[in-house]
Amino acid sequence: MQARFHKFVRFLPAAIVFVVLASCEELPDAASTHEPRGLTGLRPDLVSVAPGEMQSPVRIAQDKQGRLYVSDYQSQSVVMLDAGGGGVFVAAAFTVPGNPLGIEWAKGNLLLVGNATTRTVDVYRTTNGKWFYSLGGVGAIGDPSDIAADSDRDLAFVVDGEAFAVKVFDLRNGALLYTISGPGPGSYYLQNPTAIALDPSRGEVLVSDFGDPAVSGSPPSVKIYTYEGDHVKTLSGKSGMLGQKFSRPQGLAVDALGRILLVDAVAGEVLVLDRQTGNVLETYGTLGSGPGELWLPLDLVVDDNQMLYVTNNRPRRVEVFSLGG
Amino acid sequence: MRWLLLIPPLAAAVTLALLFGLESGDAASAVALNPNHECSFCHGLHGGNTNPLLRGASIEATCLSCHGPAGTAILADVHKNDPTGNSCCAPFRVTCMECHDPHSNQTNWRGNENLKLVRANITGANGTRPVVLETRSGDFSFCDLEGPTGETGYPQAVGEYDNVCDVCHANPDLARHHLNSDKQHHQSPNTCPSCHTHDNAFSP
Repeated sequence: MQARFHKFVRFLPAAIVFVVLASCEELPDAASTHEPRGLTGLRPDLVSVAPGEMQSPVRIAQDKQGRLYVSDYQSQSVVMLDAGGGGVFVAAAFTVPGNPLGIEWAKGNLLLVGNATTRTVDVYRTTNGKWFYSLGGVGAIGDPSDIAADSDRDLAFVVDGEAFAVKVFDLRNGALLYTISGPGPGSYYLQNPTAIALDPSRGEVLVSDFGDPAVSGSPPSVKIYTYEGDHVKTLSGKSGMLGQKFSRPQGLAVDALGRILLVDAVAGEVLVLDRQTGNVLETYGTLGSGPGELWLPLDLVVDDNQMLYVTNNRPRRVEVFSLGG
Repeated sequence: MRWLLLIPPLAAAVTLALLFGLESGDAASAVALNPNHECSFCHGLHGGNTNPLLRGASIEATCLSCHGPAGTAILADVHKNDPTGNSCCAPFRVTCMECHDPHSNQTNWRGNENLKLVRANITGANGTRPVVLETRSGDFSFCDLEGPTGETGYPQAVGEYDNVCDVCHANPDLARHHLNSDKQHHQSPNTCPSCHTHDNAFSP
């Protein structure tokens, strides 16, 4: 009990939480909808929700100006949020033809949205929410669970859960360039990939992988590859015989210190992992539904101000933490 | 002294067996049925946060960590009406364990395994009613409109409830498409979830 209390106190300052409630207003009149929403706390009623609020936030991305983009699976929309001034505010939203999953911003005001229904990655212009083109065309991606882009190199990396692979596209023309992994045994291959992040400084791709619970020796992990697809290392979610560092790895990112930030969806935590050893350095958030607590968190993004934004699926919020307290 | 190493896993096995044995019946059949549902994937002796030592904040979160959006298994969401306030009906919310039991593997009356881990009896707005599982799409027994002799468009509410949905939706007050006899066979021979998909909370 004492240890739990210390843990609670230790991370309390970090858990500065704001609630983000999305309104599905029409684009692009951001000013008229730029209103702060109620902050913190689980909605008292998860059924009766005011019109336009987020229903199932999944992935999150951020542009150079700091605007956040959230894929809302249930409402079939992309919600745009502005952070600053002590809160996070709904700016606008636009609907997509199906259930969106992966989302990523790229230079040129492009927003890449993975669509689980149409099985495409569609590219929209953030300025007006209009469809621009699709990566690889229709059917190129079976399950576009997550997306990461390197705008400087014009590359888009898409996790295709159905293909057990990461597909790499040319952002300039949407062409499929090559594929990383694919079905197969061993630590090189992805078993059940969910999310992706890039470390451009090292030219590396980091992929969250549920592993295969039916196969011994295939634990949940973070697999690291070079941009070209060579396997660099695997950080296992297991620790010793019974220990478990993480079991449902989802969204991840690399911070300014080179550490790996990883969402564990079922544990309700954001883990900060040492890139070399995979050891847990610290955690953010605790399991639960209250302020600063995470209930099925699915993705994160870290901005230049060391603010950490986490999509909190069940409470239908985005939680905001300050890295380092 | 190497035998001491066996104590932790044995303790874990005994504890989990006791928990499931007392709470939910036959855990072994669920393991045999679906290897993805091995004990440690949902429960943690060390690190379990809630009763019964679930890894997630709730049963729902545990299920949806794999079956929810961005999960790697068959996708689902809880059964609820339109949260934006456009529903015809009063707010409701039916979560995973009300229809499913991960520790029970029922067989349907044709002898097929119930791969969806649906409860044999479901308690809903009409009280507790049995689910009669039949085959329609291979061995997947779910939401079937086929009668005992193979005919389609099997009449509703004939004393048994011939699919999961009918447990509640055979009640005319709860089923918009069963309001009158002309609409009983709405979209037959399609099954309910072919349009009202589970990952969209069974919304149309």
